[in-house]
Amino acid sequence: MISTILLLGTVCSTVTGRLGRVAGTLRRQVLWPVGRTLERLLAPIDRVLDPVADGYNRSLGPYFGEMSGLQFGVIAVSVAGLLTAGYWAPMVGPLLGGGLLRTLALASIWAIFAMSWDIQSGYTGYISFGHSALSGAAGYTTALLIVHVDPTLSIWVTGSVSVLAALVVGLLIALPTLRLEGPYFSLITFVAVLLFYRLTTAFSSLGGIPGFGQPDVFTWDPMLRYYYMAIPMLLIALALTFMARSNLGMILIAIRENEPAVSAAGLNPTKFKLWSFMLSSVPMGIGGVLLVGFTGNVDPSTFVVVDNSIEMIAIAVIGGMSSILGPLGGAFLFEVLNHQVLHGYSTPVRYLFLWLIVLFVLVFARDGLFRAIWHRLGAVRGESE
Amino acid sequence: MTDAILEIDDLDVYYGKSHALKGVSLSIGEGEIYGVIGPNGAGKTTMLNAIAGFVDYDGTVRYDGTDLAAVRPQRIVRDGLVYCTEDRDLFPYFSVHENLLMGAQFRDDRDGVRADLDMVYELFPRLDERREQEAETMSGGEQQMLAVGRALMSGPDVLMLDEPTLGLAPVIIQDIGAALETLQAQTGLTILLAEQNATFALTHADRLSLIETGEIELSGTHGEFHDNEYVREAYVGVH
Repeated sequence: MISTILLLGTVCSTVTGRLGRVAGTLRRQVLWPVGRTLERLLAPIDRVLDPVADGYNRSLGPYFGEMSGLQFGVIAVSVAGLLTAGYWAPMVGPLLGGGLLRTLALASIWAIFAMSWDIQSGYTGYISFGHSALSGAAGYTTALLIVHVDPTLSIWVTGSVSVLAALVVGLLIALPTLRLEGPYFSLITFVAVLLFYRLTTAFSSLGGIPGFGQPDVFTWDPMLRYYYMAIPMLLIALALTFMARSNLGMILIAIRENEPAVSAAGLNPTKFKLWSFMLSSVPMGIGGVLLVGFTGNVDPSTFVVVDNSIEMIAIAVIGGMSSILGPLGGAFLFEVLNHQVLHGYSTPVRYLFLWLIVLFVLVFARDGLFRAIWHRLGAVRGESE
Repeated sequence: MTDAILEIDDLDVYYGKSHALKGVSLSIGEGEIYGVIGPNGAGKTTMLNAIAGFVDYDGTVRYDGTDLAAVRPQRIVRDGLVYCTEDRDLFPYFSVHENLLMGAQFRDDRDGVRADLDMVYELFPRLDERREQEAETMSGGEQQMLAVGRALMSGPDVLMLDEPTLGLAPVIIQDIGAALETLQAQTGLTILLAEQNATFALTHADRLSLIETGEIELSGTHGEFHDNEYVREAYVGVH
């Protein structure tokens, strides 16, 4: 027995040793030269864009973070791309299996979820496994209002009540738990979402497993639907980036880094953790309302299941936690991979691939893909960041 | 003493069954540097933790006339009693500048904050040279300077320092000592200094107490401590 274990150990260590060497060679022979060539190619663009970026840095930089020329260019092109997607996506879509606008609309909703998760979990380090309970609360509120109160209620009424419901559920989870530290907080958020799931499946008045089919989708027009999802997403991204770059964001990161020191600096960490949870609940609610308008159906597997919470975390991790824009990019990467690149495969196979990618990012680019790319872009001309 | 800004009366602290602080009383006057010396485990840190409201205690702590028993730790800091702990408690991935700003997060007076920033950078030129450096990558002495600097950014009237010389090179210890004296002379800051390094405390404190196994064994002025046989033999070493 012992000798088997020893043998296994030797085999494992040789394999990992060899793997490490292969990775090292790969890095030296392939990644570094490619990176250097890219830097040489991109540096002139960076130089050209620098004056524009400087103008931005002087006017809006203090509020949304400073950028180098290239970073500014990438953001400008991305925003322009998202705003014009309604026109170009139907043309590019067929190359990726069709339905690209639908995927981008869905990605916008997930971007909202991932960014909302990020401002709370990514920034404070208090990882929530229960964020789908918040979007679920919003979705179920909309459905219940339409089914039990008045099917003709306007979206503004159901929407605002639903966002309020997400905020209330957020407070219900946050108030008793945020005094806890370490894994206890995560565990309780996990239990909260399990409870919520059982609640929705156990009572037929809450729709049971089939849920509610009565809520209508916003529209069947793919282009219009995309903009219904993308515009709120961009506004939320703007608002959350602003918050994250403000003093509040700095305090939230400080809580993650050293909570006792935040206390010692005369600030009450619990108060700020509560703020971050509320700040996260509101866009979660908005995302939930949008998801109702996207699917037209409110049921446990679309809204509540714990997989949803984990998917938000995965998206945020792929993109790069505690950066807001990283999770945004992560959502588009995740959904495009899921529904376009891998679209020929069955759902389990697709998710197998996706989780493997998450694993790879966790091992090889712990700070997230988009964060790593972002810092590289900022340093093409050798300056740090 | 009548103009005491910080008064500790009959302070008792228990950790479970062990009696860490046994009826300690001190009175610290406005504008003085008060040293508390004693060996490892004597209760110096416990005393500071009690004053800052981090541990429960029996007895009274009075700061500027108010009993601190019912005041929350964050309130205590805002009222000007600032504690710079032994483990420095920096934000490791924040720059020097950001760490300093964290100390002033709760303040509304922008001009005062800016003036204090200039004061800290002038007091510790090493920090000025390293504004953008991450705290984690700095040497122990620089981190200690940053910890003191951040405490100063909270605009203290009384600064409690726990072992500011711990593990530092003699040159750095000199710098820190000089900074404390500058602060006392220029801003009238009151400093409560807990130190194992008796020589350092003796050099800079106006009055001192010696604390051993949770009790105050001796209190007196700088001169009395300097001439005391027991202190010289046990804590300072023969000169």
